[in-house]
Amino acid sequence: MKIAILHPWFLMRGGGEKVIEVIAGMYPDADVFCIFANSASLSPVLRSRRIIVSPLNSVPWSAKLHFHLMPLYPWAIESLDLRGYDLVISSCGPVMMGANLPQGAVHVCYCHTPPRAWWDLYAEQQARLSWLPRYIYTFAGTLVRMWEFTAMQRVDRVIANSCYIATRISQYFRRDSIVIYPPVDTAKGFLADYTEDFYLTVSRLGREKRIDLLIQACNKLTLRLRIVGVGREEKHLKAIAGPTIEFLGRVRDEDLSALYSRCRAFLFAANEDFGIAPVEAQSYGRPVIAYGRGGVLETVQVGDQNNCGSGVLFPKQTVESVISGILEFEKKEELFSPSWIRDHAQQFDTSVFIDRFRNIVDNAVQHGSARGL
Amino acid sequence: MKIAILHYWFLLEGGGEKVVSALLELYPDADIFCLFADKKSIPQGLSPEQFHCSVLNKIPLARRMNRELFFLFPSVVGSIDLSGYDLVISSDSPPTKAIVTPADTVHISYCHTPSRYIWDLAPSFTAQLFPIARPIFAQLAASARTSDFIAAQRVDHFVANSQYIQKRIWRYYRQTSTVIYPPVNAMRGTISQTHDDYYLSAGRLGSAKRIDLLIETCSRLGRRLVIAGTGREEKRLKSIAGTTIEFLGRVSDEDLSSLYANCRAFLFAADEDFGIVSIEAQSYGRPVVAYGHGGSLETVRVDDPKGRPDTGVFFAEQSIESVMNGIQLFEAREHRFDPESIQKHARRFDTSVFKEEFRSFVDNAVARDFAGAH
Repeated sequence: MKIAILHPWFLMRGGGEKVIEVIAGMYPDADVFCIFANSASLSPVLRSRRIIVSPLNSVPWSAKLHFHLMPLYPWAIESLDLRGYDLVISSCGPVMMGANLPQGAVHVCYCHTPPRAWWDLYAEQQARLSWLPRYIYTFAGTLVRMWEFTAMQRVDRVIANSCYIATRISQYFRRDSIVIYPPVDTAKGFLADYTEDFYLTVSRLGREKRIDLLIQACNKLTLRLRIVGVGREEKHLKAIAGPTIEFLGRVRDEDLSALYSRCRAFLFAANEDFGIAPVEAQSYGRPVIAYGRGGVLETVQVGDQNNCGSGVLFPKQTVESVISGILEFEKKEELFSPSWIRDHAQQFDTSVFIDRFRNIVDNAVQHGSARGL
Repeated sequence: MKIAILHYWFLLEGGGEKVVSALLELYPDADIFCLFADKKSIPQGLSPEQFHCSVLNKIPLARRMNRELFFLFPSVVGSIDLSGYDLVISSDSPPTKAIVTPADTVHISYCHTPSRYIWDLAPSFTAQLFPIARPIFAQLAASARTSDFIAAQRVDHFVANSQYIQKRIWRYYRQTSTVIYPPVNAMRGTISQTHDDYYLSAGRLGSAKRIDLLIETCSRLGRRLVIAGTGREEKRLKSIAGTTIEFLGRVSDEDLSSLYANCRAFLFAADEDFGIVSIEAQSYGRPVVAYGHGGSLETVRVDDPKGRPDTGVFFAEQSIESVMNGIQLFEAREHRFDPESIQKHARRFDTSVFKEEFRSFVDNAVARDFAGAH
């Protein structure tokens, strides 16, 4: 069976790329198609593969401009030649579900989210553009949304990375989907013998991650906060940080393990579609204090009468709300059971993902695109 | 619950605007979005923060060409930021349903009709154009249909303004819908003990209303016909009118009331999606002579299966002979009509009924969708 794996781009290594590496590992003979690729960003797993790039990749500075070429993605994907493939596994984000498949091929799409810049964040993104790009995006938006909606109707099986995303897929594409959480390497986690007096957050330092809220909350409570990660907001965040805040930048994997396992709790204020870092923290048995929206509603178990759960959720993206979350945590800090939290995190393990994903794909291949006959 | 209401435009007082006014009475805190608006036609009592108009409204030429710019609407409404709303109600006829709503927002589309000049009237509309404009319109209409169909798939719940429109929604969008008749101010009507010998026609003078048929028929039969209303066709209609036809132009509400109350019958030859004016006439206890097609089949009661008395007569075709038959049939049965039961029939379409039905529909829809999502 000839298999093609479609992924938008290999320009950096984020959550989406980790998923593709796992899938590529499951299908060692599969070819990989993408719109853009930067060979330096390819992981070792993928470097040995046949990587086929779209014509857009040869646009000068495409790696930098990729966001601005968005209106051209549909054309780029339709120009990928998939003749001869029996199974196509696409990953979206951006538009890979629109690939033009041969008649007999089966298409399984793993959807991280409908492209937010065209859908739920469209109006917001547009407001930030200057007038010329804004007009281009206004018209391109209508066309791309129509194209995406139609494209999604042709996919044989849609897999959503969370229930949160399943509702988004249903809202924008009117497709039912199966939920399979993205693979997290939770088997690696361990329980440390002791914890230290600091809170932890691990994240790219982007504006939408709302690390500013965590910093301000810890400033006010004079709590130690360690921040792992780099990003555009670094300078701004350092400017507002008080003496108890520590920026660690990029850290090695071993150091990260140590930080995860010894923190008091993991702080998270972003509204993420899934959010891998809180799951990683839980795999070390550490509780999570998070903004109660999006993916964390599914990954963090709040307590009930019998059990303290795996964390505390706060209701709003405000400093006061973060503070109330931290205070609530500190009140019952002793009651959290690290081993329970670690067990809870195991359901997101890579092995679970592999099992369930293979199941869906095998089932799809068995029944083919026979749906509708 | 935070609510947004999206209406295509506030340019004249039509049925669509009445729906929005009634919705605003139900949800006074709702924010209003529209493509175009005339200062005069904006609903009363809205604060400026509540009312949002598209960029197109700032371009005077675009305002004049509101209908011709239909192919831009999906892009314009697609750019409206609706984040933070729990419920969005789109009042849809010119395509405004292509909005992008957040995943946890419920989108209800109150459909007056799928936009007629890109759907059912597209062929006749094309034929009216200059030959050189026809292929251009055909192309724009084709892409507008694609966009409209796809946008319709993303609507959470359709409300149709009549069974007639319900069928059209199914025909063109393949979506099911719930019928809620539009609001009519039907409680105001009073029954006059005597009436005059004129027939009445009221409404905008557009070519689709086929007032030409009424004029020619009444001229031939020598019946008095009083026409209230203005519109693009006024000049042409006046040129074909005989001596028994009287044009009143725009009339005040009080004058219209007395016109309704004292007419012999109300004449209606349009193929309407609903037909508010014919309900208004009936609310004054007056019978209606109508083209037996479209919304009139639901607004005028003829041959009721439950045996309730008729409220008018139908004629079968949009032709002079047929209208003539209708008027003669009416005159033969004129003594049988009972103003009180006609009025009672009309009151079933009152604004209060609309509000009650719409509120309970929204409550159900929102409750169901929230239960489904969590």
